[in-house]
Amino acid sequence: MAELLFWLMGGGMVFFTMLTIWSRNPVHCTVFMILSFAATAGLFVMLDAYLIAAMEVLVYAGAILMLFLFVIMMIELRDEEQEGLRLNPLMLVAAATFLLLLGRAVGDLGPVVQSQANEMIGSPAPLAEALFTRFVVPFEAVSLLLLGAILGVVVLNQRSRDERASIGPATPDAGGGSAAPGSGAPSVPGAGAGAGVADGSAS
Amino acid sequence: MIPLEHYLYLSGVVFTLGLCGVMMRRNIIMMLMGIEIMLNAANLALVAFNKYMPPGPDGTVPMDGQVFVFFTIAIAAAEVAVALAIAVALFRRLDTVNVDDVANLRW
Amino acid sequence: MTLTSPWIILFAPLVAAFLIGLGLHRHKRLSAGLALAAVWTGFGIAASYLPEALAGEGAWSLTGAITWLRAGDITFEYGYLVDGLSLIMLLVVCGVGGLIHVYATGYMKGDGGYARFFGCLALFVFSMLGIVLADNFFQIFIHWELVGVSSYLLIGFYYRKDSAAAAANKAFLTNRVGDFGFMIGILMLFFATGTANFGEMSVVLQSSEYLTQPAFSVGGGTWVLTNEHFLWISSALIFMGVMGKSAQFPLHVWLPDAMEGPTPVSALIHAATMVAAGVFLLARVFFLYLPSETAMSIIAHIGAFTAFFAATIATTQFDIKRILAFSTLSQLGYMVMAVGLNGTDVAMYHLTTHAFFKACLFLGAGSVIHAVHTNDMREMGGLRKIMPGTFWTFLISTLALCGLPPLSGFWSKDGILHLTHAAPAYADSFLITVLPTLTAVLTCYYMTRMVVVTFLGKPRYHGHPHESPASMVAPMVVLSVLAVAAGPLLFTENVIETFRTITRPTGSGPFLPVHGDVATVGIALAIFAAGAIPAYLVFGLKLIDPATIKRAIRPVHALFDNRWYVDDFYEWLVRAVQQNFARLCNAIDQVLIIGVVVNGTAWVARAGGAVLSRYQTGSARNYVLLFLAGVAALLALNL
Repeated sequence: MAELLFWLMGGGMVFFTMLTIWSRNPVHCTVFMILSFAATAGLFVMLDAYLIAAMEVLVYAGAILMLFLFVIMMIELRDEEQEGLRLNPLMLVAAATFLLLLGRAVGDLGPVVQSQANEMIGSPAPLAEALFTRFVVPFEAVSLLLLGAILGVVVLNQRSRDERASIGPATPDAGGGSAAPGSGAPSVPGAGAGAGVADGSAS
Repeated sequence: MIPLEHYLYLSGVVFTLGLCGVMMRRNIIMMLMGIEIMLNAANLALVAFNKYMPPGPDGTVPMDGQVFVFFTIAIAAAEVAVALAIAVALFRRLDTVNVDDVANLRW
Repeated sequence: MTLTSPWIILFAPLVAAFLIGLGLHRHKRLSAGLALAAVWTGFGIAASYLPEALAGEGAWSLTGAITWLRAGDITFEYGYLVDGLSLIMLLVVCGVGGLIHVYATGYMKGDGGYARFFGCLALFVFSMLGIVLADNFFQIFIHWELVGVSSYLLIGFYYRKDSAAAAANKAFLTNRVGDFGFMIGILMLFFATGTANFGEMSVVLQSSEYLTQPAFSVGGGTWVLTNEHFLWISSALIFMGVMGKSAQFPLHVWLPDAMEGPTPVSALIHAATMVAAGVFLLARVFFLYLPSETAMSIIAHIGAFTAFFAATIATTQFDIKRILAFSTLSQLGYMVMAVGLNGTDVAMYHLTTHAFFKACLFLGAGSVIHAVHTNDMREMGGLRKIMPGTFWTFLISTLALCGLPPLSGFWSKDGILHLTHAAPAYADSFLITVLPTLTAVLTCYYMTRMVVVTFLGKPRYHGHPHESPASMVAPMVVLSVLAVAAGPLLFTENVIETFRTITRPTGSGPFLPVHGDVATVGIALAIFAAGAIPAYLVFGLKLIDPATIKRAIRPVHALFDNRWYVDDFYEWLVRAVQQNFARLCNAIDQVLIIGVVVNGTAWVARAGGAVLSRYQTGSARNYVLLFLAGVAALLALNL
């Protein structure tokens, strides 16, 4: 039973991952990736990591991939810009070599692990205990990191003063008059606001 | 009972697929997805290792592997947020998400 | 910390210096008044301790300390230790210093830096009192350096004059040489005994088993340095500090040049107090030298040689202040020698009397310079009638310096000469037995020469000199009275003995009382006659032309006149040795350090960058590939 589940989940994980990197359409990619992560969550459950499995679904599939989807929707690539995997022999050889080496590394695992799996280690209590005792400093550091990321995102996408000015209706030719590359913006369909921003920033 | 090696091989394969995604796609968002796949593969390996970890001196199994995964997910969230913000900023500035078009940082 | 009086003595001048420096310097009279008040306050407080101290017969002392800073388990304290020894120094520094302050109000009148002068003077007094009151080595070292700084400021007071600036530098640098040894010595002592406090240190040293314990052992006991040897080295290094500050040979070169400063400074710093700090320090840390015969012998010999050496140079000089400077060197040599001969009390007694008459001589010289506007004796002469006050005080002090009975100099100097003959260990040492007496003769010679050339004979000055104002003459009168009275003429012999008793460190040698018996007086008179009469014959009556003598003893005269070529030797040392060494260092620096190490590193970095920058393509996917190659390499190497 467990073997069957493993092959099912593992096979699903590999299959959806391949589809993820293969698909041309970014939205499809995201959906496949969600499926792949769902399979991973199943594997986590099999490994008694219930809390991690829940986090995988909630944070990864729920939040992170939604963010991806959101950005993809916002940027909305033109058709001719969508492309799949660009196969490149050098890169393929590199990836294959890497896989081989990884396999070799797995092959000679030392005595650090035991051959027998531990029974029932999935309770969140010991995990929480470890997190709030031994790992409390990294834990707090991660919270600071997240705060930094939030601020970083805000700063990165803040419009500079002249951009804001160029958006205003009183200055219709702020960006266009300078014949910047961004003045080809009308070819971007439907992305009015985004194109306007690109206009201003290119000058 | 599934041996540890199975999980590790699976993790390796998925990792390599993610690597291929990073190397062979030009869309910056797709490259980010590849990175996420690689992180996820590593997470799988970590959790599997935790399952097969020898117990500590007091008989309980240390939860280090899962703790690491916890941190990885948190950091991945931060990373994705910042990276996507960069992608958006890039798109707003240069009207492209193709990394080959932004090879300006060179000597 | 309660505000006990030693703190007031110490910090009153500092407060004065700060106030003057911070803004009062626009009010000249106020500045001078403040500095004067600070010094005389100190004198008053110190004098109030005197009855108690005299009654205590050497056992009296007053201590206190505050913790200054703490680093780990090492505590640095800042405290005071007033015992008989430091009390005498306090009285000398504050008393003589106060008189010189009074003198300076007249001498410096009309000078642009009037207030600055008094500010520096107050700073100096603070520094000096810190040395006197210090109860530990670190404090004494801080004040040792502060004294160096304030001395620098005062020597270079006329800083627009090149020679003054150079003299200030010379004094500072020469002192640095000595202070370097001093500092290392202090650190070694601190390391060896674990304390810097004088009292605690002497207790540690007195335990007999301590001296034989190893201080260092290298190679598992094959090479052991016992505490005794360790202390020997460190005390010798501390003596280097003394040699610098008290201008002992071969670090004496700065003192004659320091006469570039204003004359009150020369009187205060370079005659009465600062240069005496070395002698005071020797007395203070006498417990270090006591166990070591060798160290004492070195001190005695250096002192004796300096005394003679400086006296010979003084015979050939024409600059009135320089003669006094060399004379000071010579007398300091006496004091140092006396300490080396286990006669600390006699040294302190001589220090005190010397402070009186030498300060008076300097003030007199300043008065003369003030009148005729030159330092050269050859342009003076015949000033006796014009400046009677200056002449008589100068004469009295000269006679005191020459050791003419019954003036104070007789008692103190004969005490020292007595020591030289009473020490059996040095009976076959020419330097100790013969030279000090010879030096006394030379002293009489050059001092008589100076008085005769300056005040007697035909006038050779220009302009119309006149007697100095009362503010200048009065201190001279007081000092000359003291120069007379500090002997048993006014003080009884009892007082002198008490004085010596309270300045004697514990454990010093047998007490040699000074008696004015017929033989001693006779010897003193003979010495005076042997020195003064030839000088009077040559320079007063002009029976022999000095040029004839000069020709007759040309090589010796040249040696003396060129200060035994010590300065020239140092100049050669700097020019030929140090300069070439510096060139060598520079060459090594240019070729090896700059050429190979610095520029070589830069070249490697640049060349490496030129190669590596080709892989800086800007393409993210290339970077991924390179990164992957790195990870793969790690995996392949099975790391």
